[in-house]
Amino acid sequence: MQRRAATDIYGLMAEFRTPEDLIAATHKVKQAGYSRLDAYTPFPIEEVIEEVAPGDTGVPRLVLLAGLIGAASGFIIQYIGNLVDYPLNIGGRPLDIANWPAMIPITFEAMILFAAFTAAISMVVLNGLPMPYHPVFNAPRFDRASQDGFFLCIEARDPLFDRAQTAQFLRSLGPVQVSEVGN
Amino acid sequence: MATTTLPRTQVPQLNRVQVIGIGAAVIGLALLGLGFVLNPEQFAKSYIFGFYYTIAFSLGCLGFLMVQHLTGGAWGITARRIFEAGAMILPIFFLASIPVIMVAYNTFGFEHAIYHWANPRVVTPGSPEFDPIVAHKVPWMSPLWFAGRMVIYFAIWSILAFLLRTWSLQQDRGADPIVTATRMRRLSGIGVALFVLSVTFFALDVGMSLDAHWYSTIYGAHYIVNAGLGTLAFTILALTQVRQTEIFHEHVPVKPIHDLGKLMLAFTVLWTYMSFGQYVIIWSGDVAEFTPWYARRREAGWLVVVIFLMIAAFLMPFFALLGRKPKRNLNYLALVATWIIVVRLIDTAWIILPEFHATPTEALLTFTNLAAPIGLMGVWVALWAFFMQRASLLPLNDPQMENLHAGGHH
Repeated sequence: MQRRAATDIYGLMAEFRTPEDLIAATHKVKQAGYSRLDAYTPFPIEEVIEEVAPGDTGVPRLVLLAGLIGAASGFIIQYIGNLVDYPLNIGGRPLDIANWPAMIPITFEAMILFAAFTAAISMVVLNGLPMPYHPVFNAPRFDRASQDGFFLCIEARDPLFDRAQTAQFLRSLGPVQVSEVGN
Repeated sequence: MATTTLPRTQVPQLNRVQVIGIGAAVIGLALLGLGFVLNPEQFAKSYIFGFYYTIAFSLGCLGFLMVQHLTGGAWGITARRIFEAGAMILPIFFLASIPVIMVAYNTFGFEHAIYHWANPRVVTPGSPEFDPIVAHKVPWMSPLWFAGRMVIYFAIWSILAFLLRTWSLQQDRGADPIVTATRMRRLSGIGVALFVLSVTFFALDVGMSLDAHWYSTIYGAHYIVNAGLGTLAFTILALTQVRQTEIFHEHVPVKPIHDLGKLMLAFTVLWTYMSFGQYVIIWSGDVAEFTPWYARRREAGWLVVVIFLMIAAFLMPFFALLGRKPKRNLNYLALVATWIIVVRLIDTAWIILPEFHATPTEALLTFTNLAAPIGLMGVWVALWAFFMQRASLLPLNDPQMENLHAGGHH
């Protein structure tokens, strides 16, 4: 495959030696106005997450919605089962809506069930997983990101991205190395 | 980092808090004194209610003080001095427990003892008022042992509060930070166990034994959660008073505030869990031994309070604290915290006052029921502000300060 035009790379990857370097660099990149960036580290670094997080991921809203649906279905299924279709006298408890306290534990459990599954599944799906190929793995030494390397990538789709200037800017932040990441 | 002397806190806001506290104390206690003259029996009942409400804040402070020594974390180091100041009130508040002990001894000579079990006629066989169930509990429920336990509780709490405060101040003055931190952590380990036991029994003595027939094993835990929730809310309000100081600007990022907001949400849910758990078990069992306590709290208008609590103590703060962004805004949290502190009063009223008043209207129209918590809380807040100004706002020499700095400054 022949080499494509300059903008056809995925982005520019800078490797840093320590988390502190990465935190400082991320901060400066953010200040410079870049918005399409991501960091790759062996362990979560809260300050970096704050900077590179895309903001609204949609997961919280989905979880709330699923929790409310779960609670409602948990309650309704008991109401229909125990009070409408198959009323059963258990210890003389009321056979109408006054029986609501007995239904709360299951309502609660159903809410947790729906919310937890939604959280896990929507996290995976909205992250685009499973993803068999991702360009960042083309970066040199990228395997260190799961050991002792701290990487910051400015992506080519960033409006401020300029192959030469951005690379120069990244070099000014004191990285171990800066490299282009092919698509 | 190793400063030998640290400046004491001179924060104008804390002075103002102290003045407001003294003002509330004077007004509340004066009305309470008037109540004593007009109707000593009602005074005693209201006093028990106010005492039970107010001391929860000190107990919550002591509990969280020990928990944060054990867990570490940015929220703990941020709020440590607030907790210490609140816990240091416990030795002084032993004095506030004396009227309760006097009630147990029936010093004022009421015809009907407020603590049913303290009435000799109820526990003496052959008497027309003899109650075998209460008589059976006499080895535990006697005025002397009640007073003895009260002394033991306050001794445990005072020693824990005093030692943790002293060591923390030694650390400020340049004692080896690691040694003092380890010492405080070890004491907290034992302290937490003693705390849960002593506060549970305290709640059973002062609150639950007002109905000497009834018992619930979750009652103590419910009181501890109530104390924790009230304390977190108070901590948020306290932070609004010191947030603008230079030392907080320099050291405290938004993360610990967010964490305290999360804890407040968690305790709101925990309170709901405890309250509803107790109810649903007793309701499902439907045994005559346990239901009267709830029956009394659902009849004659008290049901309105129940519905209010479901909405105001659970639904409202739960949804108000659900989002991430609001929890990072101290002013917003302070609004929710104020609400929570007010609702704690109504919750405590619902737990205690139905033993004394047939209807909530009657409880509300009894002015001492408001004077007691306002007066005692006034004393409490004034003392808190006093202790707050006797030390630096943050324990700057503690190794845990790293947690704040690692949290970054944004």
